[in-house]
Amino acid sequence: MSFESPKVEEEAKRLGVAILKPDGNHAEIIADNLTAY
Amino acid sequence: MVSFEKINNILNRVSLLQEENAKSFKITDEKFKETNEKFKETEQRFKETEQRFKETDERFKENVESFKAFKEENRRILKELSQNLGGIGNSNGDYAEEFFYNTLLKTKKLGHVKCDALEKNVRFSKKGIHDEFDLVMINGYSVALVETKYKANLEHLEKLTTKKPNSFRSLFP
Repeated sequence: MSFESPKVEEEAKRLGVAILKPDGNHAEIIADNLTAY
Repeated sequence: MVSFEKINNILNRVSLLQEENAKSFKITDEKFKETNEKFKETEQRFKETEQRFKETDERFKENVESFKAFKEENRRILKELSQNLGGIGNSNGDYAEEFFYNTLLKTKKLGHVKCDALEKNVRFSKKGIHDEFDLVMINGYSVALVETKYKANLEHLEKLTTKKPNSFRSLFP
């Protein structure tokens, strides 16, 4: 739900991992660069 | 022949010596009494010291017992606190899972990827491999594994991009 440090979010983006963050009653989903593993 | 006067002198000397002896005995006797008193005092002090030692020993035993009880109580409180914290942690985890499950269930979308089905708390065991996936999103072409963390760190990311996909592939080749 939250990140231990901004580095984690940056690393998630770099790895192409979608990020889901709570935004009120919804989730903000950052999945611009999804990578298959 | 010994004269009467000489005998009288000897007797006088003997009498004088006896008096001196008697005085010496009296002094010695006094000293003995004093020494005896001192011995009694010393003995009394020994008894008092012994009594104090006993009391100290008793207090020490009581302190040891109190410390043991205190330690035991602390251990119990710590265990209880740890269980409560664990419960809070689990509740946070459950809440996070439920929140994202409901959100993704509404949209059934991860970025531009649409999914047909969404499952939560998916557990699998196969050939000695056991794993659990918080949320699994499936469509005809791909599978998205979603891990929910209250506070994500780099280790979680590493696990999500290595161990989790590998074990999913092993369980569903």
